[in-house]
Amino acid sequence: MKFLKILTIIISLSLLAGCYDKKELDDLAYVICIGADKGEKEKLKITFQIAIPIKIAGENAKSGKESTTQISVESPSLFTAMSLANSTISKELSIAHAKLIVYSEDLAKEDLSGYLNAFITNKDLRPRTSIVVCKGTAEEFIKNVTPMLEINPARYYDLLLSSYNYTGYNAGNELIDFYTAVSSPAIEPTSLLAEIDYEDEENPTPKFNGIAAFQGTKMVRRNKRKRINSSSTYIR
Amino acid sequence: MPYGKFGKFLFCIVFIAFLILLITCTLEEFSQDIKNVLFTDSSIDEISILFIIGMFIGSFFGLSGIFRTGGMMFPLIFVGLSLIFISLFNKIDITNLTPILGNGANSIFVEGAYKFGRYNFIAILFLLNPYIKNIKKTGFLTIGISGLMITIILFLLFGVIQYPTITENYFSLFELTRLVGFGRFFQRFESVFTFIWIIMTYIYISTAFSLIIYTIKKVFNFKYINRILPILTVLILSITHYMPSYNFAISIMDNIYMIIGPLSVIILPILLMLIARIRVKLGGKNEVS
Repeated sequence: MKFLKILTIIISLSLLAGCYDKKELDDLAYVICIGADKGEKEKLKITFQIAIPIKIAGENAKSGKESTTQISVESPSLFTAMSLANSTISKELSIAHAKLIVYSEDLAKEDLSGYLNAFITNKDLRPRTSIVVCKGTAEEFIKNVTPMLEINPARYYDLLLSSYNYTGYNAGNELIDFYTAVSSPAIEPTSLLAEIDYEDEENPTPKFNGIAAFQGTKMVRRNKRKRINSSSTYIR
Repeated sequence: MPYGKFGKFLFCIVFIAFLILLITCTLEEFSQDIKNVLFTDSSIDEISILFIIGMFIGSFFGLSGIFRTGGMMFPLIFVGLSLIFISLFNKIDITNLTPILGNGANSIFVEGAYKFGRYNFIAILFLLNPYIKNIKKTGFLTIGISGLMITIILFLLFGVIQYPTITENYFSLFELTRLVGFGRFFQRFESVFTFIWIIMTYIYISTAFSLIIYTIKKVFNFKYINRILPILTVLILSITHYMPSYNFAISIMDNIYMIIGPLSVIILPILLMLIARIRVKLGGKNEVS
């Protein structure tokens, strides 16, 4: 009996050790924005905007474009795109801290049905990640996003996309809300419509310029910026 | 139990088969789910072996040990679920619950009647009688607390994510915990849920396994029941590994467990008790076993 008790404790201790599949923070590349465009050779062209930690904290901290880098790959799906991107960069991609998903308008008008589940079922990606449709290509949008007033690009997206709390010209739009509306018989999904404002050529800034209205998973209409408030009301 | 030796034997064999089916299907389903959620780099066999070892140890120390574990964990589980509820409370949209009765009373009460099988485990109250002082009070309390918990969780599920979407998630409550977040620094609340889930599954399968041991002891009058523990553990491990797929386990749960289950473990003992009662009233042979 005593032997069995000791054996039980030893077995329990060996099971508690864990950590065999740990991943060092330094070994991961943190994606903060994912863009999806129509591909030329493959179905999709996925762009990953990756934070550069060394440029976010410490002496080398810099705001603007220098705090991020991006990589684009053509692939049939998000997961394949991640695998392809992993084969070209030194660190493993992690989408656990992604703050924004950008679909190009062309892709949204075609159909998003095949490109939503990958995001919603991925256990790393938060369901509360924001989702926008952009004019032009998502790759171009991500390339031209220039975080101002903020060094940390993830925080920049967080603050920018939560501005609907104090302005009527923006609207909250999370992946889970979009997905819920897609599968609902009573609600049609909407998404923020984004574009890059090139007025200041040196510092182009992202601008939310209305709402993209969907029927199911297909974008059917643009609503103007001044109608964001009313759209949020009547579309819901 | 004044319904004769045959009745007792029949009930116990049916109950053992039911519990073995319950453990193996739960283990297969749970191992697959937890692999997807937590142990993505581990094989399903490793995970199921880990829980079978836990089940073995739990049963070795007896039902009272498992109940004490449950008693110790209950406050943690309660706090965890309360935190999930509080943090998601502002996301509840009461209009998601309308229309009341959804697709109609027929689809709920008639088409959904077979889902009563999900509550088969209530039948263990028949076997727990010797362990509990006041079975009537404890039974009602257990069913009451479970009912309250299920109602709160369902209210949360349907309040936050509306009906058609919630059915698409194969693991809804986990999906819900992914939405939890207090500001930027307190997120990833699913780890608390995973902890609750693992503890509850451990208690669930260990209780079921202990009841198999207890039933075998009762039926076959075994004195040293712990000696057959390893054999039964290996048997359950083998059956779990024999399951060809996750879908197979789900289909067994949906068809055999959900439909035949209530008939065999809830209606059969009630029928036996009724027969026994009639026999006693008619002055027949009153066997006490």
